[in-house]
Amino acid sequence: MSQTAPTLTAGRDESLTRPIADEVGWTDADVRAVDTVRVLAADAVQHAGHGHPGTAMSLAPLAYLLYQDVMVHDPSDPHWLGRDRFVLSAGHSSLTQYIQLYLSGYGMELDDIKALRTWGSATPGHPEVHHTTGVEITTGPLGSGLASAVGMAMAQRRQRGLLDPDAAPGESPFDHHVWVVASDGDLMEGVSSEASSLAGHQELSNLTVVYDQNFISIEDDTDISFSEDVAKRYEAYGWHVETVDWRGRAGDSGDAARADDGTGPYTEDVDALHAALQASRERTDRPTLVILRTVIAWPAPTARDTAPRTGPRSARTRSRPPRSCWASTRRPPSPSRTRSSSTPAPWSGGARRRTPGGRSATWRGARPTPRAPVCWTGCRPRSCPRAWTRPCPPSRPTRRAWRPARRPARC
Amino acid sequence: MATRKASGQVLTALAPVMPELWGGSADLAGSNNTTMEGEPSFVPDGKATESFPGHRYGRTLHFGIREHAMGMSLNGIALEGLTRPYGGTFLIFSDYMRPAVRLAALQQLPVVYVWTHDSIGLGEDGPTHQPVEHLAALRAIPGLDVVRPADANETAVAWRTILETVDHPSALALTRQNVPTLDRSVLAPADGVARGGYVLAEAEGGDPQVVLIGTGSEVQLALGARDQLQADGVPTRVVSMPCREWFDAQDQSYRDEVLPPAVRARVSVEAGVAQGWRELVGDAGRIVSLEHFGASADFETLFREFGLTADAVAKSARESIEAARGEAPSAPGTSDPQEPTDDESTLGDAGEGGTRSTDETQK
Ligand SMILES: Cc1ncc(C[n+]2csc(CCOP(=O)(O)OP(=O)(O)O)c2C)c(N)n1
Ligand SMILES: [Mg+2]
Repeated sequence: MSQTAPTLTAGRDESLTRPIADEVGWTDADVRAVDTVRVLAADAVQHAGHGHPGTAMSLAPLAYLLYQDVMVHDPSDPHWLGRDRFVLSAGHSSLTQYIQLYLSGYGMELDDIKALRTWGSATPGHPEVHHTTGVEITTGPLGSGLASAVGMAMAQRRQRGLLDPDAAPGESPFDHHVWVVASDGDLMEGVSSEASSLAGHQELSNLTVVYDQNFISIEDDTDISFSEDVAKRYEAYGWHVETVDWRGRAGDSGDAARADDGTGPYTEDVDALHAALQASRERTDRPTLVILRTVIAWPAPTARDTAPRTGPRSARTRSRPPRSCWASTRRPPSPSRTRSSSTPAPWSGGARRRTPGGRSATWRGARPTPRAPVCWTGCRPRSCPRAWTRPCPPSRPTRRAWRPARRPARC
Repeated sequence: MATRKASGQVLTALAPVMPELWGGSADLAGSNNTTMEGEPSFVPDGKATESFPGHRYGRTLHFGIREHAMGMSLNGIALEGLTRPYGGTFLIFSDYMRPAVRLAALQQLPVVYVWTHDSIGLGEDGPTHQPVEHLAALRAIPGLDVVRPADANETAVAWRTILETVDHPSALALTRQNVPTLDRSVLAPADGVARGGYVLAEAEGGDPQVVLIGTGSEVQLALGARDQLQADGVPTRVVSMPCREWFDAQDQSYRDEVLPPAVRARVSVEAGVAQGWRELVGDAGRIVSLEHFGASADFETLFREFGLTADAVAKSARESIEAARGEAPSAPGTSDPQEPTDDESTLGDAGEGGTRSTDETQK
């Protein structure tokens, strides 16, 4: 691993296992950034006095990995058509996304995160599309994000077929991937079952769902209401399923302290997760479910593995992180110190446009299929081409049908 | 006290006297206050948890995050016939239950829904979690009683009346936020809830010149407006209307007593769409409502910014009085649900350039 700034993780608690991220090439700066994400999540909730910090803390490595190393996107052009789509189906963990938008240069600023869940802020309780730059979909009602992502994946295929059917796989500006982060609740909701069944049937290989299996929901331990083998269920739907287990001795269920099956401490194997995600992108025959086993609120000592309660008291007593970002003297380097808002963060793979800037221009010039220009000019601005009425001749009224009855009908 | 909390206390009090009553929540037991204190959970032996001890013959139901399945299961429980089931979630997720609720009504099943967080009053969770059209949409289901009590005492009477209803489903819409427990020594007793609507505060200094009708957490706004109007010498009656269906079931003379036909100046106030209120407030009436989606902020800010205030109700009352006298145009659409201002959330508008958007391309 290249140690660009060895001091960056100097103060890290040695009892916390360092994320395994050699193959993906994370430096101390990345580890520091991920730790900062956790602290920011906890602080934002603490500052607001309410909200769900735990999942944003434990999913910090996943979210960072997606935004920095996996997704193809361009924060300087958030509406670039070729971008991968990110769906936070676990919308209650909006900070998972907001903090990545901050780190990767979408214009989200620290003050926006401080304004979490307040009037007029860019950071409402749940992500809202058309409201916050970089948010692709409004989520919060569990199940809805995952199910809508199935539609995104279907649309991607249809759009490519309309506009660029002859391109080699991966070569078209319309080859994007849909990434979903889902929680226990998303997987419990019926609508996700229906949509996942459809996705399997449709062999939507451009869809990857990362299921954050932390065995916790609002009523605490999910043992009380959820015990099926999700992996087998998704296999039966026709998905590729992979499990990445970070829980170590926390095991299959229960809290981290209780179980001790000797499998070792909680370890964030980012490399394993990265491999699963990259493989899912390459897969061409079916959608992928990556079951990521985590401990909620890791590594906050009092909050981990407890139900994500809201409210000021719980935020204070249960989710207090080891240290505070904007409230403490031991302030970790704020991302704003290491990046200016106009340039991507030094650790940012932020602008990962697989298709270089000119590619869609090239497409426009070189590849228009006969139907493409109509679609392009007609569909994209959500308006109809002028000529749309031509194929629709007016129908003659069916006289009988609407003539008033002479006598009241009898039955 | 929040009405959801009052509801939880009622349930706990009912536990020993109504063994046939049982229910639970779709993963929101603590938020919905649906657990009868100390009652064991209904769960196979190996699956009880630290938070929810229980056994296979237990009483507290845990549906998981599966509202649709909860609704259908409640129907099945009711069809078995020997017990009374209830189920809770946030009111917004009545949407996830709607097909089941309709089937409960169609089958005349005495299921009880405990729907909490019943308006923008839930605050910071924002528009995905804030009901706006839900009360109207639920009232549109034939055979479903929608009950939205104003305070703890109304909640107790509401539960009593609901449990006496054995041939169709009922829904409670309860607040997340605290609401004042009304002083019944100066106001009418909460027993009036059983009739759906009742005179909570009588006009003073003469026949009522205007009637203010509120439901749930907005009854306090009607009372606040009444104070202002009475101070200006306008005799003002406040009607609490927790259940439109129960009120409709009263005979004409009672309804005329509560809403005298001669008093055409009327204002309704409810933190939801106006739909359905015109028929009670009439041509000269005014409707203080919410005609757009909510936003993520504390509830006081939301009520203020969205114009759901005692001031707005008092202003509408004055307009309605004029309209009733023929001095102002009657029956505008709705009186005061102001058009969203520029910095207000209107997700409905978002596609055309969300007014609150920070997304430059959307402006
Ligand atoms: C349809 C729906 N029902 C209920 C809720 C309320 N709610 C918010 S988060 C949550 C459960 C959280 O558990 P989980 O999905 O496992 O997410 P985690 O806390 O592990 O991030 C619930 C029930 C919701 N958001 N959507
Ligand atoms: Mg969970």
